[in-house]
Amino acid sequence: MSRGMPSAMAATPNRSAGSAPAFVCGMGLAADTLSAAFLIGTAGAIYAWGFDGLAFGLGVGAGLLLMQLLIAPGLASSRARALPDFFAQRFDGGALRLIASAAVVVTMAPLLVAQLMAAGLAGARLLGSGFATAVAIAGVVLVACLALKRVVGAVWLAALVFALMLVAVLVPTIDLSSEWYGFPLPQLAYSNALWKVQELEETLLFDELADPTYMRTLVRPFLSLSLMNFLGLVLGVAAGTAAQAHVLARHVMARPGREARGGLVWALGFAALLLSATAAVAAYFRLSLMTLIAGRVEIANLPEWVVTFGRLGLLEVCGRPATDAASVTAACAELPDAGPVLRLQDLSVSPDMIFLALPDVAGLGAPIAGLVAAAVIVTAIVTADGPLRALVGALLGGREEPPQVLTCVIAAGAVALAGLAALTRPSDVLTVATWGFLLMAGGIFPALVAAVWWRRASAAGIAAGMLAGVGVGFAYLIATRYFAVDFYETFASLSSAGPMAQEFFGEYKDAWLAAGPGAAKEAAWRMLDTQAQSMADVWGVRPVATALLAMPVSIVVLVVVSLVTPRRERG
Amino acid sequence: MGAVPEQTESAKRRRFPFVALIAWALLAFVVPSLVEPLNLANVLGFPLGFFLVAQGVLIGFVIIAVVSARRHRLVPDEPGDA
Repeated sequence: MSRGMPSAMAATPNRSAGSAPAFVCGMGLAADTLSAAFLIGTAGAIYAWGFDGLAFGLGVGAGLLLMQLLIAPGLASSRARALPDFFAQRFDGGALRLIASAAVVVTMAPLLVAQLMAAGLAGARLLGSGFATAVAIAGVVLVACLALKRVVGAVWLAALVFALMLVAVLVPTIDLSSEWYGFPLPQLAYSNALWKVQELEETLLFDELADPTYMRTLVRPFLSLSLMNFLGLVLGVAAGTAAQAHVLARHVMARPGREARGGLVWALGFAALLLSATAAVAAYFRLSLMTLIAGRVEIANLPEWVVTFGRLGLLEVCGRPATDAASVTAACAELPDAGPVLRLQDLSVSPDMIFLALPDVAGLGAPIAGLVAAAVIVTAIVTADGPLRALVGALLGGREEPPQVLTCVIAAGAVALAGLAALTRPSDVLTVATWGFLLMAGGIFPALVAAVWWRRASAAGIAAGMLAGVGVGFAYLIATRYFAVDFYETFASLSSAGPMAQEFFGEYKDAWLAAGPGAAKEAAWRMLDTQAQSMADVWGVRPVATALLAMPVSIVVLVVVSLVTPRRERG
Repeated sequence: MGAVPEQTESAKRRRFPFVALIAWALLAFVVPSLVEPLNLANVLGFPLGFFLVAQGVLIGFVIIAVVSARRHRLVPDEPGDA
């Protein structure tokens, strides 16, 4: 216990840590934290939500700092291999290990699904194959990598991937910044694009090329999320980032404190560099798209990328997937107010498309489009490895040397299930990943902070808090997404829906009840369900801000149960 | 509480980072709340509120991280962390 231990001790060889320089550790940590989901998702969120989409990047930055301040001091050099081990070491409790393992499995699953979705989309774009084929290939590669036990140099590999992520973000944005504004620093140059977009927004409205109800101004805050939900999303992503089981295991627990802290500082810097450039991606995409519409492009003459991304299910024109030029023309001709010219409201762009499609939409050419898609695939597969290992480790229950065959079988099973979930495309990639972060924020973050900082915390308290946090978060996310109609009807008195929305809900419900069986009934149900999803909430807390409900519940349960049970048995 | 130790000892030596957390909360939650008034000003061609949330706050986080890591270096917190 001497404080003056010789510094050579710090250099004791350590699992997977090796002796990589701090900035390499930081790059690896940033890659594993951001993953393909944030790489393609943040630009999409800013495109779709404008200012409100900045909450994701803000949350990741806040979370990396939180990890450094609150979590790393207690976890670095804890000699635990994974989060469940850490809890089991600190408290005597087989039950606690079991619950922590379950929490890790539940929170890692959405991350794995999101990575497979990202790999599938980019793979389908690059290979021109179907989405399902690309997901299957990515899954096989992922399991093969795990089977080959590529642990040595995991940090170096992740660092290389981060370099690739930076290239994928910076090459198109630097190219456009210098071409359009003669200033090769996208983080600053895109201010020009913001003003130009604002101008175009007004032009489109004036020329009746855009419906005001479809227009989300890029710079104006809180059009998509209220301030409370914005802050709740920041809090959830931040706490989730700080408590990521796979990142903590690979980059924090296996290192001495100083190395872990150094890595975290670099990681934050690198993440800031990458995230600040994704806003430029969103701005440039919007500018290109609006320029196209303002130029009165004819629906019969849409650019090639419309069909490319329509086939991936990422782009709808006039309410139908844009799979080929003829069906686009047909769909638009059916609209009652159709004209020959494309309008903003005719397009429905998935947020998943923005990052992948910027090179096409801005006319940067096929090589850069290919580079971006390839970078996304590699990032998705390499950064899916962390969640997969954490998940498999938790399922194996922390055995020291599990049989290789068993590991592979479990991994293959997990990837197959995640792949099937990815095929259903439950939402966009970033939203799916965010579910994982929100569950970590509610379930694991309060437990970790208590284990590190609160000496009165008991094993029972930690376990109960974790269960409550994951339970509330999971129930809220599932209920508001998949049982929205029932949820709204049950909690109507707590919902923040206004009178207009309630009226719509009533109308859709009547229409559904009155509809005859078959396709009509299904269509009516979809309308009703979509409407209900927009109003199913408690006190106005949207699903993205679930942390506002899950974290307080988890903390209260943790504290109360800890106070009524005996102190922790071990240090 | 017989056989404790190591961690409780190091927990004693570890100080809870109140100041850094307050700065963290100011940047993460107070700045976005003030975005509308901040947007009335312009910086480097950006509306100030948008600029701060898109990148200014992230730079602020990095500064807090650097300062807090420097301070930490003076007080080693774990065995082997000299």
